[in-house]
Amino acid sequence: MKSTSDPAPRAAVGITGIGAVSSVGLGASLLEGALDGSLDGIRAIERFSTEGFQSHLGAMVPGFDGRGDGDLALDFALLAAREALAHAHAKIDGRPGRIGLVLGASFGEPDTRLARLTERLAGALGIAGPRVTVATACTSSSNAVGLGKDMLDADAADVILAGGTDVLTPELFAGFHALGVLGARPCAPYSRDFGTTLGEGAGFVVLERVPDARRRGADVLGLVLGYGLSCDAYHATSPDPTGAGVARAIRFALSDAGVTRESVGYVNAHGTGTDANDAAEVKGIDSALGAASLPVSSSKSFLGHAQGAAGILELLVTLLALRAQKLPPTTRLEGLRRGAPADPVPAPRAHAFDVALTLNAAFAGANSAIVLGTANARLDETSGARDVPSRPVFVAGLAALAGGLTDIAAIAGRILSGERIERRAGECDVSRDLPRAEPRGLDPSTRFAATTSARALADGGVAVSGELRDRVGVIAAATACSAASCEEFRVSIERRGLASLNANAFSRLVLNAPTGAAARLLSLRGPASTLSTGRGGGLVAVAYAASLLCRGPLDVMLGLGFDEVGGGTGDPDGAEGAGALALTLARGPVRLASWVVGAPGGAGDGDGARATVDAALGPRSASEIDLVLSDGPVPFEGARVVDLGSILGDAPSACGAIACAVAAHLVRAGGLRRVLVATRGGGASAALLFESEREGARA
Amino acid sequence: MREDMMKAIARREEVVSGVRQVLIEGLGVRRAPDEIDPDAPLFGTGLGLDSVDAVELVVGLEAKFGVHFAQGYMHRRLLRTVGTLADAVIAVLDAPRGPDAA
Amino acid sequence: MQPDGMRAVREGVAITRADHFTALRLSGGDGAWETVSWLTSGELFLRDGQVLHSLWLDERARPLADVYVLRDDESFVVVAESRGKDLVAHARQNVRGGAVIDALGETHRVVSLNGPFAWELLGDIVGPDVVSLPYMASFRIEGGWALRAGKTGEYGYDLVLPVDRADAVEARLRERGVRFDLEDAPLAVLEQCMLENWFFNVRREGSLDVTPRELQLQWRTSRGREYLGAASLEAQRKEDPRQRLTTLVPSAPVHAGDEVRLWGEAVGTIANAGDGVALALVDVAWAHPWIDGFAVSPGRTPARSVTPPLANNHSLHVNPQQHSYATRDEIPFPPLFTGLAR
Repeated sequence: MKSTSDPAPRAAVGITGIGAVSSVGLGASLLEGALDGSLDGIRAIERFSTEGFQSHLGAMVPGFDGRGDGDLALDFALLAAREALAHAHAKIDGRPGRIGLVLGASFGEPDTRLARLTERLAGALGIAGPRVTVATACTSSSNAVGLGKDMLDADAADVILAGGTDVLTPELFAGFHALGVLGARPCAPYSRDFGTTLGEGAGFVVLERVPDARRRGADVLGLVLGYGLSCDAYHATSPDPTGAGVARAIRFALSDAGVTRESVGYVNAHGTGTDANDAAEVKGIDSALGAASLPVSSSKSFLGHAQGAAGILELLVTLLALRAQKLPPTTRLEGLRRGAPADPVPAPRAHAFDVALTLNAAFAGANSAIVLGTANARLDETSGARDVPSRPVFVAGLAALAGGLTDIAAIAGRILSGERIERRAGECDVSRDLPRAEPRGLDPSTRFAATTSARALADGGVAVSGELRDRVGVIAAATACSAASCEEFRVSIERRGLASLNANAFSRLVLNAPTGAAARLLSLRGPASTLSTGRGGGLVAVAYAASLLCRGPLDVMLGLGFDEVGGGTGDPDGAEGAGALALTLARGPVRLASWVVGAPGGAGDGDGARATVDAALGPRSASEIDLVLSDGPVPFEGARVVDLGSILGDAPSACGAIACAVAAHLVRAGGLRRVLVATRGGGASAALLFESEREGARA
Repeated sequence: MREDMMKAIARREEVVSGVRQVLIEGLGVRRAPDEIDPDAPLFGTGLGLDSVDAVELVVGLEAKFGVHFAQGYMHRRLLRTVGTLADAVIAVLDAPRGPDAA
Repeated sequence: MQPDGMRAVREGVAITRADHFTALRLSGGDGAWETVSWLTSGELFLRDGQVLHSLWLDERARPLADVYVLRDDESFVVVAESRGKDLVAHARQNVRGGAVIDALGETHRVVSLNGPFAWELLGDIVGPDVVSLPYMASFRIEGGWALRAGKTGEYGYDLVLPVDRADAVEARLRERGVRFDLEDAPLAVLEQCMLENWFFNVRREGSLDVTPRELQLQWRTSRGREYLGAASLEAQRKEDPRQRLTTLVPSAPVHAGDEVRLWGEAVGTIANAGDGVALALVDVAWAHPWIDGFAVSPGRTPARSVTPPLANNHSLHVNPQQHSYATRDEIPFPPLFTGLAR
């Protein structure tokens, strides 16, 4: 992601390699079998006992039934990633700093830092470019592909490996079972039997800018024309029954891709088979696309619901369908239920189409829509390229929470004086910042995220109501699931056993849960997502929010970072808190003049970070910067550098966001002209430049 | 007969009290026990529980009273108020092998 | 022999011109929120399109109105039954923060549909979205609002319609309603259903000199915030309530005001009596279900207390995703009333 100073159209982004590990076997080519309806990955679960449950089915990756250890997510990912890279003939060794990784991972181990999985994968593959983890449950890997495209557009890398991985564990199985969504019979979307079947797997696409791919002689398998995200802002686990959120994501995606709704020839739906999801999703599709008999099929009938890997696996099926010009069926169709699509593709058939949509929806109301296109030689190299006008971004409002302080001036004062800040966030009074919100069942992470977001919006005088709700979103950085919710979940299993665990706590074990809850409490129905990059995550979240805001059609994007202490992360100096910026296109006293994300600084060498800082500075010299706030040490000479890490403690996601809030505050109220906020990473380096608008207009 | 009646009432009060505790401690209902009317609706309106809470409620009652509700026994009809829950618990406590509990 | 309209409410769908409802709208930014928060006893944590079933109390915490508060973006629509008080005047007397109060009685009319297949008839008129509308939610319709609520224990929709469209909508409902055996359900039928299904009636038990504590309506009241009547309610909490509203099934008709005795002692009074069921304010020591020895004067009519609601509503067994009125005979409905002296 990068601020756009160059108004030239961006190159199209294509897929040059694919890899998959799924319930139908190892290898992406097996997914091609999906196109003739001959696949079925659903079978009885053998890896763990399902005694005491009403369902005993799963869509497990074959050949791994004996594996009980915790590394399956990494193993699946490695297999799929290597296949994709080999398929693309992508040479890693040449320029490892220009190859990045965006990994969608859903639940994972609740107590661990999700970004560690991504780091291990990058390490094993030799990837040294920016690494980002997207953790939005069942939209993780589709969102990851979209973000991967964004990163190529922003020149953060030359090649992005994007996808996801997930494993079906006994805890996940029990959690979904407690929510009543697992069917006793195999998942049959749009049919008489309700319920879903959980699965697992991993998948990747290698993304490159089309001119680059062509230059090195790589085959372009298809194009990622664009994508869209939205938030239902409705309920933690049930989707908006009217499908309005799905419709918004589709509209954002079509606008991003620059294609009309009439051009869409096929939709691969999320189609889990549950009562709540399918009917609502079809309503959303009809509302956004309006085509009476558009073919809509769900691949979950044979792949199962691969959770964090669902997005990428279903995207791969859609890509293969485009290449073969053949529609994948919804298998197991029997006794069409009310509200099923008019054409659920009961049997595979040939179909001429250039554009397809793949949809996913997740807990916390996240929706994603990816627009794929054929690598049609008639389309020029800028197809799907965004013509993003150069738009200045401003900080409308800001807020932070650290050491029991919410007064930004006080927090800024402590940071500048180097006075240590209390590691605990203190009492977070929801009723003060969100007087109309039901406080029941909000864990600390949710309280931090929601109150800080509310205060940033209030600080900016942004009243989210009416149609504005569709045009305000939030991108958050988080490090691990709420320790309090993890504890509640674990205790319920210890005391009552898997078959009777606490379903409410389970629904909060998604990194995106606090973000989604904040969106619901504040009625934010634009894009919502949660990412993790380890240290510096907060900066990356703000940068992503700024990029989405520029692409529009949005009015306000929140960039948020939060951390909660406690639980098994075991970091001796763990700190908690939150920071948020409300970004807008409307002119104000503080401009976000540039934002860059790039390869992290390697051990001992700051190359990635240095390049990122230089890019953020642009034509300005270091002497024009009044102050640098950093999350960890950064390579910068010529201005005072204050490392918030040592003052705030170890809060990988909150620290960067708090730094941004402090920076914007100092520009607005402290008389500083320019404050740079930077990090070497973590999984990615990032630099954001806040500038006083009084400085005058500049290109 | 009056004595039997008073015993039954005392026993019912105990069960109602236990159900209230499950609601307060297990489901996070923010009310004092005496504010939870025996005939107040639980779901959709009233105490505002939702479908995710329903599972937790049944599990909580089983743990609290040491009973087991057969699969499908706890139909929506029985989950309507503290009173209907108390009836269900008492029915299972009194006749564990009765047709309803089977 | 059921009264006209009763069968339709219990088994099909019935239509009612709900003139017993008063509707008003509060708008004007924060003032609307402050005003409705002051007037209403419940917790107003409402998402847009959500409906709260609550109360408006007087300073002594006696109910003035049984209200639905619906949030429509940043304004609030109140659809209420009162016991005679002019609610619009009451709201205007209590306005805060410059809120604007529109009396909708001149501009809108309320038409209600109640019954296990009410969703289907309404869906046929307004489209399939109504099927996905959750309980206690609303959506905009025909320039007004449709609330999914109902006080009969069956699917219920209250349509607040602009007067210039209400006739047309009603005509379409009646025309389409023929294949649903649609009947008119008068207020008396709805009130009988309220009694059977434990829905508060502000004109009956709500008109006695008691508070939400006796009426088992504490769930509609907030703690720790200010609203009209809160102070009085809080003060009364210092003592335990002496009586509680209890559901009785008498073996012969009884009447409001009749004395209730248990083993010769006076223990309460009938508050609301209907066909085969009554509500009584009973001393708390005896305000429990499944007590067989009540006797209601003057006829010493035997009565037993029960756990409400009485009806095993057909709506509990109807799934809009799968069922329809046309094939209702295929649905294995259990008996509506079981185990009672009816």
